[in-house]
Amino acid sequence: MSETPRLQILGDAEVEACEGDVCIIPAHPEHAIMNRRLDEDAV
Amino acid sequence: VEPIKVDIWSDVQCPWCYIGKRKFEAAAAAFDGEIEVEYHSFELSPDTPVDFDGTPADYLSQRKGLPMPQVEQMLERVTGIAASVGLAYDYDHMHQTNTVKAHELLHYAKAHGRQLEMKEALLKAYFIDGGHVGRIDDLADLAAGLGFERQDVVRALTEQQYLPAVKADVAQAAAYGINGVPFFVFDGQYGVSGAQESATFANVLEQVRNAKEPAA
Repeated sequence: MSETPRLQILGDAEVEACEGDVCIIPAHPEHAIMNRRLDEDAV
Repeated sequence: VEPIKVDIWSDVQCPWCYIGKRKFEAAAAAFDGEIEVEYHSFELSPDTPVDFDGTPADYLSQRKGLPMPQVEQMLERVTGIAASVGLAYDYDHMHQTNTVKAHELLHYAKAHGRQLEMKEALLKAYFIDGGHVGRIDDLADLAAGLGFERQDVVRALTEQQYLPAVKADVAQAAAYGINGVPFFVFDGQYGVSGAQESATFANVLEQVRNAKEPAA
């Protein structure tokens, strides 16, 4: 595999995504970042 | 002018991936340039059993120890956002499962030049139609419904013909530093994470085009 370039990140950084088996769920007006909180014990 | 290549890392059980897909598609449809899309495999939960007996709500409750009312509230919110882009998520009938075989099937379809069609079919089967996207037989039925040769699909999935391709995608994601999905890579240079608004995708497409075509 050729060398992987570093990506320039575009777009809104605070947006819904899935990391691990729980997804980041927005709870307006703030985001409830469930996965990060729940996985603290596993990190 | 070469098309803008968009590589999208995604999992079949990822609610934001389907929502993000719709939002990206809306931006792509309104964009007046050529775009080439290729999906890549990302396994959010590779240790999930194929035959997990329950819905995503059961899974979250059991796996993460979340109170069921909290899980239901979370899923209700996702369902509402999905509805806003025309997707009728049916969490009561979803089958939580392992998605590696679905990813193998996506690579099978890509080898036959029909990956985008299969991606949509798998997401629809899982989120809307209550289909099982973890078992070979169910996946073969879905593929046959799209006109693929069922026996050959069963063979490819049983032999794990495309497992190395799935693992290569996962490794490529790791090399890019991708931790979550959906994740969009434009022309191998620009990364966009998550289910962005269509307007954001539209802006990114313009930005990437401008970078390809320096002002005369």
